Amino acid sequence: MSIHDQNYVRYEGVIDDRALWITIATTTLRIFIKFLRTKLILIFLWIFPLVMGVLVMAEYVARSNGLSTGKPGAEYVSLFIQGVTFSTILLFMASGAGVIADDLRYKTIQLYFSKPLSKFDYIFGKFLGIFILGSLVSIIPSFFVGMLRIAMYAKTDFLKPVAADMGIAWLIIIAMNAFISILLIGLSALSDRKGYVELSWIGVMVVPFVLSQIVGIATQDEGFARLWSLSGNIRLVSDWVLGEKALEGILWVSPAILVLATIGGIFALYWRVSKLEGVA
Amino acid sequence: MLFNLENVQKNYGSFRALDGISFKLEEGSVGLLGPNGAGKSTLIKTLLGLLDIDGGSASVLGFRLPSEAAKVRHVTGYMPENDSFLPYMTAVDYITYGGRLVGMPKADAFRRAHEILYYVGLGEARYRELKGFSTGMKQRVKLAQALVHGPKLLFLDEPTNGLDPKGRLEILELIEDVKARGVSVVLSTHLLSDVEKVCESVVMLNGGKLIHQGSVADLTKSGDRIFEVEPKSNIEKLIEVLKKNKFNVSQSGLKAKITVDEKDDGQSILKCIVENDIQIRHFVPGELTLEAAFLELLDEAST
Repeated sequence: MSIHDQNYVRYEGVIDDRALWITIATTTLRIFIKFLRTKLILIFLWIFPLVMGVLVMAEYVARSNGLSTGKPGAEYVSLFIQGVTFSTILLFMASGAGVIADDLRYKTIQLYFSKPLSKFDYIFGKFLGIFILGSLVSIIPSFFVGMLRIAMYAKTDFLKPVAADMGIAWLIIIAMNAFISILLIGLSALSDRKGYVELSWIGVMVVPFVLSQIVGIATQDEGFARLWSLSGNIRLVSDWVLGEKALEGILWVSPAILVLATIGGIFALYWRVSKLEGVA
Repeated sequence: MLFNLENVQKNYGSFRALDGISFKLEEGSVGLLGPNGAGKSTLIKTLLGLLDIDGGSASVLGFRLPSEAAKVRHVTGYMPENDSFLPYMTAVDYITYGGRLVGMPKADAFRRAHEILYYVGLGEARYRELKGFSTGMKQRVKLAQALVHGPKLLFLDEPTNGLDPKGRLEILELIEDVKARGVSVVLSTHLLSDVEKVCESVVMLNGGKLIHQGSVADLTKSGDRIFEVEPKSNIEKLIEVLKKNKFNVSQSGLKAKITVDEKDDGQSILKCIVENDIQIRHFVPGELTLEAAFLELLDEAST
């Protein structure tokens, strides 16, 4: 249809640019969810929380039949945290690496900043989009499984410790998701090639995890082996917070490693954003 | 007032990209001309408020820069030279996103996206992914995103780049239509014929300096006369002879373009050619085109 059949009218409606980060976040999330591979991996990664839900019910049945009577330990929660941590890492390996790299590659950044968008809107929006994507396999399943576990222990004497463990687990999972999201965005800000980001993600998150597992099994010292991977350090910190066995004497190492990695991610973002002057 | 620039300076390290640019322009359409590296892109970025100026003052549509840069970007639309979209987005999603990034409510942005896509002739392709678009369609969709929020001023960076003649005319037709509806246009291009077709005034830059600002009509009506001479052979000798005889001459391919006083009927040129025994094929009065005026101004600036 040619322009002669159309009538261009100036937009005179509402303009409100107070929270443009919401637009960036929702669009980022929508873009990634749109991909078939994201949908498939989301379905695949929900198998783990479903299995954990089944285990909760199995535990309830065992207790109902008097097979188990003691106070429930935090091993279940610790295992769950490690599981969703790995799920988040796998999800971001398949989807999310292009969160900033694609904007650099396709030069959409120059378009964004020709609009009244601030650097804060862009960064926070991107972080939030990725955080929500990660929460689909971490926070949301942990909420359902946690509620199921609390419901199972609702009429027992163990309600309080179980609820407290689940509350701590939610906080740890939220922090873990934020940490991994920052790391992904930081890596994505370093390159305009999504493939390189994916490779570096595998190098930073997946390979050290696999190696630390192998070393842990070979040396029969899982604690020290976990120090060599970021996901292992998340496990060590969560074990320590949950009151489980943790590395004594060098407790500060794991939080320090995670803090340093977070600073690294934020610094990469800051470096990229500080170079954005005049991107158009 | 569209622009009010006074002694605007911008440095990249020790390199001065804009060197004391001053001009005032009323609403309308303006062509931004200059060779590569003249400072056109830097000037556009500065006027969009994306670059802080190192000296002088500037305002766009009455908004001071850089303090009111966000307000400037509310009332302006920018069509970048290169592709700037995620190829896996559909046209309607892309335009809606552009509208929402200006602050339009979702429903308004979505409705406007459809209207604008029909306006630029992409109504039938609005649900297609951008990766399958031709060069002409990409240019139209970029124009659409610049128009979605109804800007008062459009910055168009090489809008006809890479288009075939038909596509180029269609884009120029669109720009003229937008202009006719009260939107001011800044057209940065290397194609001077585009500027002649669309713009009323021009701003010419060279080496970060303003070398001319004024209306296109004034520039192509300088009062001087131009003659085009094509020698049978050896254009260099003809130019050398004419220059030796104090003629204002420039080479254009195999022809020499000679600018003379408006009272000169060309006899002085012919006399000089005959006296120096140079054989010629053509001797015709020419027109002072924007291109000729542009090259002349560049010559003047470099000497």
